[in-house]
Amino acid sequence: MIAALLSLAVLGTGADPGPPRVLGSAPRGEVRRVVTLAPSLTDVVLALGAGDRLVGVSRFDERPEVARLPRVGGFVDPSVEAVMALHPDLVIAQPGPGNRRAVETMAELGAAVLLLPLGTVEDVLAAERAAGKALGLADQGEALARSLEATRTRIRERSRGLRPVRVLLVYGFDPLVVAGPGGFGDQLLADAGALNVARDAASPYPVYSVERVVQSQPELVLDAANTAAGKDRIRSLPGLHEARWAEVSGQSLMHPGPALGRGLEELFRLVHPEAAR
Amino acid sequence: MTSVAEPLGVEAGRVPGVRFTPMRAALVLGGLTLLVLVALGASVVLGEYPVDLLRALSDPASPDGRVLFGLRIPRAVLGALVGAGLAASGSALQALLRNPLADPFVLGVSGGAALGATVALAIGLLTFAGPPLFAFVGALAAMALVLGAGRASSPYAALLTGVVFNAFAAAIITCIKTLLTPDRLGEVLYWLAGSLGYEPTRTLLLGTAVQVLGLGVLWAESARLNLLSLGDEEAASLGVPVRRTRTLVLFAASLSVAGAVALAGLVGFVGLIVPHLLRLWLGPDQRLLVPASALGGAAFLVLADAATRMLFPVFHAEPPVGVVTAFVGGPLFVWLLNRREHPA
Amino acid sequence: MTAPVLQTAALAVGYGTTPVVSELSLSIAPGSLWSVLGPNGSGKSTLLRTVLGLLRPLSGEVNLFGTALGRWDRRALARRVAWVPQAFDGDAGFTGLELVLMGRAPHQGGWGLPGPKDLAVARAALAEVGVSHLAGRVVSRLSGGERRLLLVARALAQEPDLLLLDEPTAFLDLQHQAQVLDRVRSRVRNGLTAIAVLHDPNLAAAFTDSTLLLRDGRVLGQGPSAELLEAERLGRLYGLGLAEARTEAGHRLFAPRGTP
Repeated sequence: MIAALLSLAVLGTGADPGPPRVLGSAPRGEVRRVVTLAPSLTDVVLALGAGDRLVGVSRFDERPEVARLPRVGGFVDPSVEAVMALHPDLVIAQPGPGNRRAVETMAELGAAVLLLPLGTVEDVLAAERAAGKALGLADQGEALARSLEATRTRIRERSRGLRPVRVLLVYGFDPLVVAGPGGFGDQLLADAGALNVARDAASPYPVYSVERVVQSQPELVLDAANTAAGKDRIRSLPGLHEARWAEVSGQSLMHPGPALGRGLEELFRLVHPEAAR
Repeated sequence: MTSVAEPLGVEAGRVPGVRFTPMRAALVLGGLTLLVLVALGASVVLGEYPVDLLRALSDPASPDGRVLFGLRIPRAVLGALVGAGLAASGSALQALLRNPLADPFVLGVSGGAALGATVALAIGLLTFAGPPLFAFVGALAAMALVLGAGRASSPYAALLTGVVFNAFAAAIITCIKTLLTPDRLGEVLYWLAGSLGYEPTRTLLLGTAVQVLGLGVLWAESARLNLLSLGDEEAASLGVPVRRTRTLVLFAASLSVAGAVALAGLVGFVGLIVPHLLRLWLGPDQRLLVPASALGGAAFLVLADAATRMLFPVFHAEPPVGVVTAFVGGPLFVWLLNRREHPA
Repeated sequence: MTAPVLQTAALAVGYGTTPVVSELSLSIAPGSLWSVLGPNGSGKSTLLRTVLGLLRPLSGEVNLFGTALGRWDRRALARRVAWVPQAFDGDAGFTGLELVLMGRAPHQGGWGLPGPKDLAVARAALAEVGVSHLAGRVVSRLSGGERRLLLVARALAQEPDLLLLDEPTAFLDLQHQAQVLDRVRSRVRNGLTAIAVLHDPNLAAAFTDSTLLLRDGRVLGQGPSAELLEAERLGRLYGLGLAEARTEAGHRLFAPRGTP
């Protein structure tokens, strides 16, 4: 559960992580050996069709395609030695204060590191393009990005004219972590014609005040949490008890990555069920 | 308060009576230095990346060479510095506080360092050396507070202030922790657990300077520290400038602890176990214990850190080195205590 | 007339602001052995601590070897004045010889490495007190009496001109009580000056030249032991009736009179 929450791993709270960029020397020649340091980044590589080039992933990766690959560490503690031992042509990481030192050390030791922030939908689009370019799959990267953009446009079209629904998107119940402003969750909610009741929060993944949630009286509560621990307690609260509750299937709204398109469509169906038919 | 610790193997007539002689010191410290070198050697050889030593040494620019000189050696050096600082400070404090269970973290310095680092991580500082710098500044602030309070009435005012300050810092840290998002929280927890990373040469040089200064002062005061362990009044009657020595020792110990915690977080047990074990072997003479603890602590932490790296294939993570020190140190300590209570 | 070793004028001693004893005016001549007697809490130990400079005098003056107490450098004072405290409070991991060697600290440099002279003096002190066999023994394994003897040896190793003893005979068996005081008196004959807080007036009568009596925060009497120590005055000192007797050898003895 922690892993799932952590795999939100957007470290742009407050500080702007910047655009995709390369640390250390640029990748030389063809990139055949790739190490990713977060599941979302693995998703990007797999979506680009370059899964056969992966040689190492984080210990939080759960996708069956990478089940046999060696693990190189976590978000705040990637092991520099484990990464270097795999002799990667490219290391892909999400920038953040926790892994900064480790990632910089990798670059100092000669690895090509591609930093891909994944906070907003725009970050995801830029990441897909940058990763595509780095892997020599620029066309695939472009295609992925266009596909997501197209989905967004399409959904926005359909939600125009519909009455905005007041929605609370929950990532975890105990503590109560919701989608706040500035993150991809918030953006997708807007695309889908929903009004994020937690838009006054201070960060994209705030631990939100339960009382404020009760006051905000959402019409729809979307459960994107990995476990049901604490759900009953929240659900029984006044203001939330009367709302419509729906579960988000799979991880598509937890991982900022190529699956966001599917996530957005499901979001639209859940927010506006009558229009989705 | 009479100490429970008693040197092993000291029975009537077996020891000439004086245990600190230049000869014995050379023997013991030489042996421990050898141990440190062995530990450093082992640490440099172990890790997930299979380093070809010959290749690394002949061609430092090769990948093997870069891992050896850029990863293994700096990390081993860091481990030695942190271990030496924590253990030697622990030994001095055990003498100063006349309590063989004293730990360098009672000083309040560690609380200040932890608070500084937590604040840095909470803000998400991406600037130069965020957490270590803030940790050191926090440590110095705590030290100033504690030493300033020590000027007041009793010599234990400093100690009490340190303990209270630690509690205070812990409360603030807890408060900050509840406000953090889960990913940030992970970073803070990781830092607080204490671990060795890869620091640039400049940082290591600074760290070395800090430890040399702190440990140097401690060793210079070690004879007076022996006298102080008899009690403040007795020491004064023997000509020791009690207040000055107390302040100097607290300052030097705080400096060493600050330098260690700023770079590695709260690595527990080293400051308690290493000096205590050495005391059981060597006796309470600080002239020998301070340098011996420094060397023993260095070897201990370097080996513990190597062990964390060996655990990587099991957990796909390197556990914080404080976990290993506790796992190894704890049972070892209990076993040794038992052996003394019930000699075979 | 030689200068007094210790001289006080209207001295008041105590902790905090309330004096435990006041109006102390003493003049201790060199080569004399003084005892300080009084009931519990009469300020005997406090007086010793103040003379040593461990406690600040509440009022009045203290002069040691002609110099005011406040002007003495601590180390220099430690070379002239030694203290046998009432209890051993320190780290018991040291051996007997190491403990006694600490008495040489005021004469040594920063590291305290003992030279041949230091070792010789320390061993002589151990022998003098009769505890040479404790040299290699660790203090934690020793009895209270053995520790006291080591403390006496340590004070002697300091080679002081003035020796302050706080209840030196506590925990000691009769033989050692006599031995310690005998050694001290022998040293005093050779020029040492000593002040011993005693709890037993019989010891004071047997060994000391002069006595100071303290009670109720005042000096009840001071002067030659032969004159001062007699049943009626001692009875007033301790607050109970005392009977006096003489041994065949002529020594005076005091004991509580007829307990029911």
